[in-house]
Amino acid sequence: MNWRTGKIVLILAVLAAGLGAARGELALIYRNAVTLCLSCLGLTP
Amino acid sequence: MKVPGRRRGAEVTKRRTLWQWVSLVAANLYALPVLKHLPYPFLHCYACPLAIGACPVGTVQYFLALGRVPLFTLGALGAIGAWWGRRTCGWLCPFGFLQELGHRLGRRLHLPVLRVSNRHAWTRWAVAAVLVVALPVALHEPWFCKLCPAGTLEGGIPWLAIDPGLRQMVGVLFGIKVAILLGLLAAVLVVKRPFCRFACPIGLFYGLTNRFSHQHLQVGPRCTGCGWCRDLCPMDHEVWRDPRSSQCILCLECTRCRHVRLAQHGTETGTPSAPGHPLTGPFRPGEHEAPGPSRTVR
Ligand code: SF4
Ligand code: SF4
Ligand code: SF4
Repeated sequence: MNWRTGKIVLILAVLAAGLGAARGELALIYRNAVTLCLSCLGLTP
Repeated sequence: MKVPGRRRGAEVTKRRTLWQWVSLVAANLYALPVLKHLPYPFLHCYACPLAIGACPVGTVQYFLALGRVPLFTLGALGAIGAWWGRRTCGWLCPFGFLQELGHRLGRRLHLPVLRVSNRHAWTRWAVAAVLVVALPVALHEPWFCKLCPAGTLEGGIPWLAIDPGLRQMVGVLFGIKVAILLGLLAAVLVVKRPFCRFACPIGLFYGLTNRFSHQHLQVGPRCTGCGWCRDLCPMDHEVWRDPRSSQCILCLECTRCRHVRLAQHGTETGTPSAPGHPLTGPFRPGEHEAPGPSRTVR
């Protein structure tokens, strides 16, 4: 593999990121990131 | 004794340490939480009270648990990897930095270095397949997070310190998480970056891009395989065997040896992309003479 492969991956990756942003993923990322998951922290009542 | 082909000093280490400190501070600028729309390009817990971004591993698990493909996160990390390979691990990741600081402390304490072969790096695949993909898809819960030592250090412990009301919720799982974290902190004293080499899903992902990334390492034909670069390497990698290994974090410590250089697309033809730059320039014939017989390594 070489940089030619890298360029194809780069283009596909940018397209995927653009598509994800267009599908509203940034809002989902934000919602998850600002929600403190206590059970993930090992804190359960 | 001065050995030809070896650079004295550690300018790369100093420069990299500065980048790591700046990244650590920048990743925890609580005043900019609006950036939590975007994943960090490295492992950093969004449960950290000071975090400004989203952890990519936590984000991927969240999407998979919802039955969605995390296109933006994978695309963003893929683009970074296609250009820089695994370089963010070497220069920016706070958790990688912590492991290096721990290992430097071990050196100060004159503890022995335990050499664990990178042949066991398949464990990263098991961790990613089971904890990041299979269990979140099947059980709709982020199982990597439940065991993640970065989450314990950056999220769990700070929140217990800040909010006394949470302390009565400490259970068995928290005890397991703390045990994993303590085990890791003990291990970093004697093993180089154990979490990065054997567990981290982001390192695994970026490592795949090392094979074709724009920036990559090259080893000159006069390398003797003396092993000095492995001693310098924070990942215990033998760069002369595989300059594009998935274990290389492009920290450039090994470029202290004149036989190793950072190459970018274009430099292969002998055209340095940054003329005069010691790291991207061509191998230097005059300083290139190695002790011992020369051999082709690639
Ligand atoms: S617990 Fe670990 S994987 Fe989960 S969000 Fe925090 S740092 Fe990321
Ligand atoms: S492999 Fe290490 S340096 Fe890279 S993201 Fe994971 S913890 Fe950070
Ligand atoms: S092989 Fe060189 S650039 Fe790669 S991680 Fe080791 S010292 Fe750093």
